[in-house]
Amino acid sequence: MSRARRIRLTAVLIGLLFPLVSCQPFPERKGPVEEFDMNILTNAKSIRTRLGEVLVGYLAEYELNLQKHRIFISLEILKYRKGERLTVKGRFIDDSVRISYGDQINAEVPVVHILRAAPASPEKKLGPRL
Amino acid sequence: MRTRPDLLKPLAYLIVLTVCFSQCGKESGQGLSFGSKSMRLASDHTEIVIDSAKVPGYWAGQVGDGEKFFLYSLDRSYKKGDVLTVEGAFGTATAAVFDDATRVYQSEQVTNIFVVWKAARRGSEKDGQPLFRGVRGK
Repeated sequence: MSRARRIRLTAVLIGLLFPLVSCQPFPERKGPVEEFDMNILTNAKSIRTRLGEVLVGYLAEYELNLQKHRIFISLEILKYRKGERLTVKGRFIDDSVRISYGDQINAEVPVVHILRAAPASPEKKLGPRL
Repeated sequence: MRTRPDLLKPLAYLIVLTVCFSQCGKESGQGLSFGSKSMRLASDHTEIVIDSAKVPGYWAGQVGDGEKFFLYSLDRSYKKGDVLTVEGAFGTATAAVFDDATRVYQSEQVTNIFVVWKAARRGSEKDGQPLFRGVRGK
């Protein structure tokens, strides 16, 4: 096989790899699905994550073992309001955002990708549901 | 007729690339059908999100069996409760949806989508007016 032919063949094979690779989903970096009752602390925000992805969502807070934890909940439709209490199903993803709220300046907050959210019934306490 | 060898190679690459790309997104879409349906709007003008893109339209139930569809339309002039005869293409897609009535949000929801080419409100002066701006009489 001539040198030019080998180079052309290699280029074609590399070219074919691109569409095949692009069909693959992103590497799995998601945790298990968890359910929380939480409170939305801020209005909707657009924010860049540690890994460079731009997400939209809200800063939220839930209670676990008498401690309050803050998370950034990522949703694609932003119709909830600051102060609203939600029951959500979602997954922690291996990413975080830096956000200032109250006494915490530029605090690192984990990101939760929301699969389902609904208004929480008024009597529910904040926190993971067991 | 003989095909020139220098044209065969690009043609073969093109076919292979087309097949490769056609495998992408097979999970979210299951093909399109075309036709006309009678729909009762179940919402005012709203939006869903497909692959991070906002898709405006209405939620509707098919008259008869009540099957739920999202009608893709830019026209905001219709109201919840209107009954329309719509023509267009329909299929399924995975979308993020928000129900205004219950305030429930769901991502990755398999949704019936109807891309409206033409709509007529039943027994109204707007009969025949296209819902889809820029596409007429298709």
